[in-house]
Amino acid sequence: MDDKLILHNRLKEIRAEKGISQGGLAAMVGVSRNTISSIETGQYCPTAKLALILCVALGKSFEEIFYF
Amino acid sequence: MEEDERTAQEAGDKTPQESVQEAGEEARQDGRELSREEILSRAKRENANGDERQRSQMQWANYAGFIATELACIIVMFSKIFMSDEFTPEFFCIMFTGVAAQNIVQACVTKKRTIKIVFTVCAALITAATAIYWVFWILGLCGIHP
Repeated sequence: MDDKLILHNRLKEIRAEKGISQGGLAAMVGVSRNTISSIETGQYCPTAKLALILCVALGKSFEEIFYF
Repeated sequence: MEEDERTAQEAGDKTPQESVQEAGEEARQDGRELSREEILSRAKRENANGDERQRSQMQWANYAGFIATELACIIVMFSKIFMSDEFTPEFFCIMFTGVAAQNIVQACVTKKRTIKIVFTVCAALITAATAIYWVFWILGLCGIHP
């Protein structure tokens, strides 16, 4: 059984809810659009710093966006 | 330890979450906490030369490059030994210089004492061995044969 702790996120839903595109969010936080896409698909797990920057950009708390 | 106990006593019946919220509120009031705009503008400035995912990809690329160089040295060295019965110590030294550099960095970065000691000893031994060879090699280039 794979018992790895994987940090999931609701970035895509929240971004869509706010009407922001991947490119828009990427420009807001200064990362590439690929990075946002990779985070949304779970291919890349952001550091605590980037995760909090995303929270600030979207005006949500950490727990609202990220979960196990 | 004592300080921790004192802090816990001062906090009274507050839950950790309440203490964190209070600390955040204090920071906000003092103006120590950055505003949303300030955080985003600083993040943009920091990521101007590539974001953290790109940096981590670059680290993987560097690591792959290092491994490829080491493998190339091993292949060339052994093929020379088997094909022409010729031992080329330069390849051996290039290989070990890379390993020495890696060990030095690991020894500097690692916090755990036992692992740090292991890396330091390895780094010292490999660096000394390769440094001796390079010194003799440079002296040989200058025409000095000690």
